[in-house]
Amino acid sequence: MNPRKLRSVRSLLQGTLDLLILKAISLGPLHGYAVLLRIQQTSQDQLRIQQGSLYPALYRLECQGLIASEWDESENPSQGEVLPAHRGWTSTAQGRSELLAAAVECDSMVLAAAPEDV
Amino acid sequence: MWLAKLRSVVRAVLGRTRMKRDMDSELQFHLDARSDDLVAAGLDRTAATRRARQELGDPLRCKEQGREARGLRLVDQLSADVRYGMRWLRRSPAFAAAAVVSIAVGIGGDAARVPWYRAWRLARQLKPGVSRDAAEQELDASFQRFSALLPSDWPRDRRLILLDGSRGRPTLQNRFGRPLVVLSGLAMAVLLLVCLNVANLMLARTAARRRELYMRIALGASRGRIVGQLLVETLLIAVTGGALGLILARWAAQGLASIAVPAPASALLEVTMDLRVLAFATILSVATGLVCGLSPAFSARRTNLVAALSIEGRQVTGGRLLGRKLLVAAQIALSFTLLVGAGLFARTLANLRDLDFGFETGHLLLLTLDPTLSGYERPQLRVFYGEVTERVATLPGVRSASLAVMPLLGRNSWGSGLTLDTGVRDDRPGPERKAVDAGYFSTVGTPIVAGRDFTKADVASGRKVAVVNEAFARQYFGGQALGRRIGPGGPQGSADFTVVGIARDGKYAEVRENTAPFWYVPYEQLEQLGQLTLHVRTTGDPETVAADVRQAITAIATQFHGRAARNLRTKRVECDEIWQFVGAKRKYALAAKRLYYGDNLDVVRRPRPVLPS
Repeated sequence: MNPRKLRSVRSLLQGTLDLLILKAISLGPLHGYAVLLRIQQTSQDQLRIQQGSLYPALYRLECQGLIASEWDESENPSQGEVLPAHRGWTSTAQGRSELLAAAVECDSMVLAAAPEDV
Repeated sequence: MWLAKLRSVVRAVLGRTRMKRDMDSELQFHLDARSDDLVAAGLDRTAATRRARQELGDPLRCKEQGREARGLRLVDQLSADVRYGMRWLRRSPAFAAAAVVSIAVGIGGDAARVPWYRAWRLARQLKPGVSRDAAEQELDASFQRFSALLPSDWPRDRRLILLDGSRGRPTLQNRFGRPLVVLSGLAMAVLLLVCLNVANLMLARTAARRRELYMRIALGASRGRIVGQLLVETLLIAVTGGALGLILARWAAQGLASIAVPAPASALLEVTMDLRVLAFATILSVATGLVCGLSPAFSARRTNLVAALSIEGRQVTGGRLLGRKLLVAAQIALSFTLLVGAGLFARTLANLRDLDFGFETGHLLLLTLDPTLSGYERPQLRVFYGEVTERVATLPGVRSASLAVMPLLGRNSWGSGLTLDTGVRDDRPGPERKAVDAGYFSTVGTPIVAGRDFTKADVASGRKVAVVNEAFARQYFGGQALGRRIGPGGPQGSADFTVVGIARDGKYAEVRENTAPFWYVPYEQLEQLGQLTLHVRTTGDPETVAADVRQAITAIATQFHGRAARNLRTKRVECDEIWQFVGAKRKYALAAKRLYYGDNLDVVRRPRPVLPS
């Protein structure tokens, strides 16, 4: 039970989650639940996000200035009914550049770790 | 990045309720959307709602993490600690009051030392480590630079030398040195006692709380949180005590300065707060509190929590007990020392109050004027002084006013040796003397027991006259002094002052002096005129009269010189009030409290009933 090791694992997970969130909302504003769905969708259900850890991650990103939110009372197009006020998350310019940098880094790491013949 | 973070925290702290509402509704929205999806996937509404809740997890935890993510953790913890600490202090008012008062007294007592500290610094300006020669060289160098700027007819061969102030010169060092040491010692003892007191209080408190702390540790509180909580509590006490101490210090410092340095000398010592001294006292008290308050948090690591929780209260480890015994012993010893000291001090003060000053104390206002500093010439000075005396004497609330070369009880000295008509000559500093105005004796209330007072007729061109005190008459003339001739000593001294009156003995330069020969001459017959002190006998409160007197003098000075007089110092002498010393009472109360509380707070440590294990 070395806490140092635990922390590093957690920070790795959080880092990934942050990245996934940034990626998910890069195409347009999404509310929290939709972020969850988008991540599952784009990873073809490979990634399952703990729903409880999504919101702290969102708030943390907001606190870091990477994403922003606004309240929206829009109609849900698929069901045609008025939903309660919900918060739409969008990435900020800073968030987008962070995402880009992370993606480049990720690519180079994948290349570095990949076997020679791929 | 950090800017966004700061903004987020500030917004979160300021818009607490709004943020909480936002978080609630966002989570609610999530739950609704998720259960809608689950219903669409075939579940019934109740099951879907339950499932959605399960998936999201504990909403409280979720919200807490949300707050944490916003950087609110510190704020949350701190405010929780402060609230908890306040509650705890409210629940134990005896402890809180004792600790707060202790710190306040410690800080107040220390600040009261400040004027003395200043005096000491005046008396000893050589920094430690700077040799006398080096200091002399440096001072002389700046003196030479200064004299180079002087007109050419000034002597060039002057050199500045430094004399050892602790020997010889009866100036500030001797004057303030001893009382300073005593007072400093007292203040240090009080401060030490405060530290011991705070230590003891904290130990008693933490001993009583140890179970609570162990419980929190057992429940998973980190050491950091425990330490933080104790820190916050100690700081709460320290801040309250410090604030109270500041108020106390203002009051005590003023009282002490006017008592310990009677008469105009204390005007030289400004009573202000020395922040460094205050900070020192505060830090010391807080540090003591912290060390003692935090000890259980650190010892908790070594403790078997289960055992501690079940048998704590019955078991006291030997080392700790010995330490506490020593602490209490030291407290009692110090308290007794202070108590005895305070008793002696009070006795001295009582003696001083019954003292015969040889003049009427109370309703006496002293103003020292030095118009030469504003460029008055000698003939002008006489007229100016005459005008001032006349004008002030007619002010409402003033009974009489009179000038003298030195203020009463001003710790001044003018001894110029002695020559008697019998041919005896003494060149040592000898009996003190004073130059006074006609009407001086009636103004200060010193009775003339034989012969006459000075009159307006005793002018510079007239016969030189003198008034001596009873001790003078007794010592040099066997009591029959009227008509005899006396004069200053030295090569040029000649006995050309005729004694025309004998005044009652009294205190002249300071309160503690012994009765000694003293003589007066009319200041009108002085060759040199410089700084004079106006003695004003008032019918009402001297403080209110002082403003009028100042105004009158300023008006005269403006009329004489075209501008306001500078270098005008006033100091009220209320000898009746001087001796009502607050400090002595305070120390009594302090020691009594210490003896009382020091042991009383211990009783919380009583045995607990045995827990089934």
